[in-house]
Amino acid sequence: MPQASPNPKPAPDTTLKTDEYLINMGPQHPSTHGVLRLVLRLDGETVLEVVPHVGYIHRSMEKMAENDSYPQIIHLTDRQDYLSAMLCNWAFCLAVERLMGIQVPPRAEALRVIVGELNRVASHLLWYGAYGMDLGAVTAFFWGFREREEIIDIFEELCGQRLTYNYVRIGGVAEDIPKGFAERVREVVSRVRAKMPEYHGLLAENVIFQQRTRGIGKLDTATALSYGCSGPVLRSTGFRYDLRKDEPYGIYPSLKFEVPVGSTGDCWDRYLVRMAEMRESLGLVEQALGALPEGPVLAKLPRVLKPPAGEVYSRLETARGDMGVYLVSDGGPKPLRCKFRSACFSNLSVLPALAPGWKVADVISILGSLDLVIPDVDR
Amino acid sequence: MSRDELLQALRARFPGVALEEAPSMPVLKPVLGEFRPLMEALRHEPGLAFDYPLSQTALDQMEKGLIVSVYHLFSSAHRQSLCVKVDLDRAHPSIPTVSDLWRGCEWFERETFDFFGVAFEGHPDLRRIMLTDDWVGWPLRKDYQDPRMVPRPVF
Repeated sequence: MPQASPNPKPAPDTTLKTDEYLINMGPQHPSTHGVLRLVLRLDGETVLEVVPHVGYIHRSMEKMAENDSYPQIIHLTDRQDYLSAMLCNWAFCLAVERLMGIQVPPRAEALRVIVGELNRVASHLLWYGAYGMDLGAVTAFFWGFREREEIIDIFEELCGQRLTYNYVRIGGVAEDIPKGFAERVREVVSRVRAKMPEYHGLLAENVIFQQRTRGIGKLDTATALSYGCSGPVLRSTGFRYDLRKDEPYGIYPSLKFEVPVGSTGDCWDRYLVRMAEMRESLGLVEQALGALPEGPVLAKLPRVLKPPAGEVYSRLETARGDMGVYLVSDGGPKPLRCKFRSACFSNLSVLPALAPGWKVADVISILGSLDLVIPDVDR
Repeated sequence: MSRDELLQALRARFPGVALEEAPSMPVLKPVLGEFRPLMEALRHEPGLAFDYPLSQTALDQMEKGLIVSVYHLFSSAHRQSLCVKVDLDRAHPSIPTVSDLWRGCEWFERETFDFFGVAFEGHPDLRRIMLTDDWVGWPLRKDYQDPRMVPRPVF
């Protein structure tokens, strides 16, 4: 594989006398993947400062959640990180289950791992395609979407929806799997796995892609931690921390998987970590399918859920990182407070620390490598 | 470090501060005056080293006349989580910022300011983050009213 040398940070040119100026990137910019506005202060093409402006699609989900019963809140989580909606559903349900001490049936736990990990693969595939396109490689977009489509079809067959699933419910999952589901999933898993070297070859062995990612936007572990970064962005700095291993939930302790980490925390490492994560997720789906127990998929629960007065802070690893749900209950049917801590919010907040010193084109590369979903930032 | 060791360390380091055991993580409840030195100790002392901000938010306890500022922290060295809660006066909620200790808290605190109207003293950039700059009121307070809000029908 040809290797481009890592890019050094460009030294500021002091010979030319230039004026600083401001430029608005967004709110309608193809590489922001949603409605995000960045105000760039530039000297020539060099970025001096980035000020992100968020909130364009704020939908007051936390206020809505205070007026909804617990099962009614699940569909709101679908619309936060809509690319890994299964995992967002799961994150909220996990919080309610911990608050109420609900035991989830083993079959439902296994199904959650299957749909959750498939969703992680689908989300990373979309990111792979979109990141390629951000950097000018349009083919990656078609290839990523081709296999993602098959996973989305599986979800459509399972719960009738392609993006907003509302499938994971408090105490289990909504429905048992249809006939022939396991075979279809196995087939798709093996097809995606067979395509992985192709994906990697298309982008990673391209010198242009390497030039635009290697050494760009380096993040060190201490900064990442201080900003509250999580998921692949944190792991790419070399810090091995995955909630599935370190604060385990569900049946993850009984499954075998690795937590891939990077070493330098640049865009290239973030790319490598996500690609390696896809391979691990495919393995997890197969393991969960292989040991799928029989039985009910939903725990027996009262018609109206009234958690005891108290509070819980629960965390779950979505495709983008740590999704925290802080629930406070007063014993009634609606929560007193429901705070969603989204991974993208914190991952975006690190951008003003990452981008200065790089060129405008590198901001696109850095932004893409953070894998932001703007509705998850704005909630 | 285990949960029990963390509880022991917290009791030894902050003997006067109320400490509760909750199912998800221990809760420290300092009064406003001891808050800032306590957070500095949590962040910098190697025996505690809480270097990762999980979240910062607030709770509106209208009937008690309080707004509670809530911090969830995590220590990457000891792999333990901790919650810190501080009661603030609901009429004039104000608390020193911790955005210099955890950079991620800069945005968390802006969000809390936006929704609850908590003033964070010393914050470098305390503006609304989600809502427009000319928005009136603090939407996540329990007594917030907006003419566009429609009451949910009761069946």
